[in-house]
Amino acid sequence: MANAAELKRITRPLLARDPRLVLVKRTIVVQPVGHFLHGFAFRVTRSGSVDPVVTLFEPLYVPRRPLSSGSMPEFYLLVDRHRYGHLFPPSDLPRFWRAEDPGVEQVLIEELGGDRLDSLLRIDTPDRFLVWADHLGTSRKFVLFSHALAGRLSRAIGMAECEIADWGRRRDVDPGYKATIIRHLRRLVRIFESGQTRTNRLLRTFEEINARRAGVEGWWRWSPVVE
Amino acid sequence: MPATLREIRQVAQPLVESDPRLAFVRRAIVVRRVGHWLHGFSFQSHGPGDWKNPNRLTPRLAETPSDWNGLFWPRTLFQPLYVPAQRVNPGYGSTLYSPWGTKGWRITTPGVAVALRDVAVDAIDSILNVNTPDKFGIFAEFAGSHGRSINMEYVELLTHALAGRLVTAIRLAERNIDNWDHSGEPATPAQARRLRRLIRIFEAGQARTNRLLRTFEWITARHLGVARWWTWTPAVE
Repeated sequence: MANAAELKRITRPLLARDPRLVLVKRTIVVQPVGHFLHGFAFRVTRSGSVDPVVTLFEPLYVPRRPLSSGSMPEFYLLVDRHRYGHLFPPSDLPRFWRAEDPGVEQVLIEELGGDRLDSLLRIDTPDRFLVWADHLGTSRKFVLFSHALAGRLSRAIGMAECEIADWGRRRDVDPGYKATIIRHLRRLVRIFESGQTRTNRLLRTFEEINARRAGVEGWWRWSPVVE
Repeated sequence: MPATLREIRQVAQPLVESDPRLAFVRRAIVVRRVGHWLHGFSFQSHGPGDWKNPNRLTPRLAETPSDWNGLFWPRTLFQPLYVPAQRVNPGYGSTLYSPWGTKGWRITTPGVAVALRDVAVDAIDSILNVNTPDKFGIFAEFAGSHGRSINMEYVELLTHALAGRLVTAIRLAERNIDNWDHSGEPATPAQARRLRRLIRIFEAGQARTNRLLRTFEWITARHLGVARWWTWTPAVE
C-alpha cells in the first residue's frame, strides 16, 4: 500500500523542483489557492500502486465538496516499456507504477510536474471550468454555482428553479430530505435575486469553509470575478 | 426502426427557425459563422443491430427491437476544423438529455419538437463557450478517447499548436512516438512518420504551423459542407 510515508518519499523530488507544490495529506496542492484547488490526489490502493491519480481542479465555491469525491478525472501511470522496460522483468509488463519501484520519483516529475500541471492551471476561470462541467462533468451544482460566480445570476436562478421542480416531482426520496433540499434551493434563489454582492458573500463563505476542510486555508485568497 | 433523417429534420425544424444563426447541414445543425470550431448539434440514430456492438448506445427503455421505433440521440457539437475529418463527428460534444431525463429522444413523443428547441436553445451558450484553444484544450485533455472515435492525441497537440504552444506540441508529439496514448507501447511506423512530419512543421515556426492548420481547416470545412461560412483568423500570429 502506498502509505503516507511512501507518498512523502516519492513526491519529495517533485515538490523540491516546484516551490508552488505542497503535499497535504494524500494530495499535492498548488499554492496559492483561488476559486479552484489545483493539484493531484493519490488514492489508497491495496496493491501499493500509485494509481489512479485524481486530477484536481476543485471549485471551492460549491458547497459540501469533500476533496476528490469521485467527480474529478483520474489517470493511470502505466510503465512505458520503451523507456523503463529495462527496470522490470519482461514477464512483469505491462504494469502500473508502484511506490516501491525504482525510478517512480522521476516518473512523477515527468507526469505531474510538466504539461499536465500547466493544463490544470489553465482551468482558472468559471467559463473555462464550465467547458468541463457542462460537457464532461456530472454535477449540475458545478454549473449552477459557476454561473453565479461569473455574474450570470438569471441563468443560475433559472437552473435552481429547474432543480426545485425536479426535486418536487421525485417520489423516490425521503419527504423530509426532499423538503430540506427544496428549502435550501429556495434560499439560494433568494440570495441570487438580491444581487451579485450578496451572492459573492455566500460564495466566499463556501470557499472559506471548503478551504478549511481541505487544509489549504493558509494559501486561499478570495477575489471576486464580478463585483 | 430508429428515426430517419427526414423525421429528425421535421422535429428539429422549430429549433432551426428559432435562431437565424442555425442551419441544417446533412445530419447536423450548425451555428454560423464557422471559425476554428464547428458549433451546433449532431443527431445519431442506432438500429437494433447495434446491440451486437460492445460500445453500443442502449436506450433506457429498450427491451425489444420495437422499442427503437422513432428514437434518435441529439448531442452538442464543437468539432475542431483544424483536425482533419471527413464528416461531422458526434464524439466532439456531450449528450443532450431530454426533459424526461433520457438520452434517447422519440419522435412520437407529444411536444418533442418544442422540448428539443427549448433544451437546445438553453445549450447553445455552453456550446459557444468552447471558443478558444485553451477552452477546447480542457475538453481535449479530459474527455478521453474511449467511445468517441477520436484520436485525442492528435487533437491535443494540434490544439496546443493553434494556441502557439509549439514547444508543448513538439514535446507531446515526441512523447507519443515513444509512448503512444500512454499505452506503454511506441507509435506504429505510420503514426511515427506522421508525428515526425508534424514536429518538423512545428519547428519551422508559428507562421508555417498556421499555414498547415489553415489548410486542414479549409479541407475539413469543405468535407463537412460549411466552407461558405468558414473564415480563418489565426489564434496566434
